[in-house]
Amino acid sequence: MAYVMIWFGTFEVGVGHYLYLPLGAKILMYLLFGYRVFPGILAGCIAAGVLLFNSWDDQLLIGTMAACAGAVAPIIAMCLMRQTRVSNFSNLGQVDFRHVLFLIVFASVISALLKFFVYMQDLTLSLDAVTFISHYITGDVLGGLVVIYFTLHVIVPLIQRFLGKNIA
Amino acid sequence: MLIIKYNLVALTLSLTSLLMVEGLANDSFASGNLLFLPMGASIFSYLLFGFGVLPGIAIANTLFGYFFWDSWSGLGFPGFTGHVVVGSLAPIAAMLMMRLFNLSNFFDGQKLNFRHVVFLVILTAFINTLSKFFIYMSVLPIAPDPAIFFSTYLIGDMLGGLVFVYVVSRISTFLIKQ
Repeated sequence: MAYVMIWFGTFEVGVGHYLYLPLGAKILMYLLFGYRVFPGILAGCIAAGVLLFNSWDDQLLIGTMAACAGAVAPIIAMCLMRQTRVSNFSNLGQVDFRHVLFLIVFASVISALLKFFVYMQDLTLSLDAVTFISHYITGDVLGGLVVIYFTLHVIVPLIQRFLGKNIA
Repeated sequence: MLIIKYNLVALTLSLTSLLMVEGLANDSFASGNLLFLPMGASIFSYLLFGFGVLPGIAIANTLFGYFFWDSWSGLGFPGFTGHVVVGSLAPIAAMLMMRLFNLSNFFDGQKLNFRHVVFLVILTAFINTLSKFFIYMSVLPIAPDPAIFFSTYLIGDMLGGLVFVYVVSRISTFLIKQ
């Protein structure tokens, strides 16, 4: 997803990306396979950062920590929603799609704040807090929505059609 | 007449909670109060009486901010927007959001679902903090440290909300049983 994302524009640490697709992919993976895919997601985030984002503009350590924050944010959001019993994502077939939409927004906010705290530790980066947070939240929400929509309306019907033909 | 009564109760609750945290408050808006009980008072009032008590809560916030905080520490209209408008509307936004996304309507029959209220408090804290951050960052004479701003406002709203709702609901249940 990070590779697809860079077709639509470059990623900059200070402002993020206006269509940050990886968040949607992370949420989808956690919904499909549970929290046990965390190591895989983390490895994917770090690899994407090193290979595609030029080691987060040569901020490898901070970038890696931000990748951890990005991988943890959906887990925090899902845990909060589960613990307070406003939604249960354990049975994916019965999940209300609106809960997933809310999860995207909530995870985006948590992710943006966590990443902001991480990037603030690097004194060489001069971040504009308002720009950073607003851009990251917008990019994460848009990216998350695009991935979930694309998966549900393009990939899933394609798989269903393919499997249907095979079965027939 | 009933709505006026409800508004008076909400106004009293908000004013009382504001008075309770007055000694703990900071002079400026650069950092928040670590036990911001008025957030709990607003949430509790909206849950109990509905959104009709918005005027009561807004009046309480306005009176307190103008007279006790010297017109929001001299910030004037931006201070009013942050404290009164955002502070009064954040719980409504959170509740509408939770209803819109089909997360909860906070009651199981006649009983308040406290777990859902916990999530409501957390969501309100996020909405309140982010909105105030975007407002205050541009108007405060000395730009606040974002890390301190976020941590104090978020923790203060969450703790204040939870403590107030829990304590007041326990007290009211006890009184009703008596």
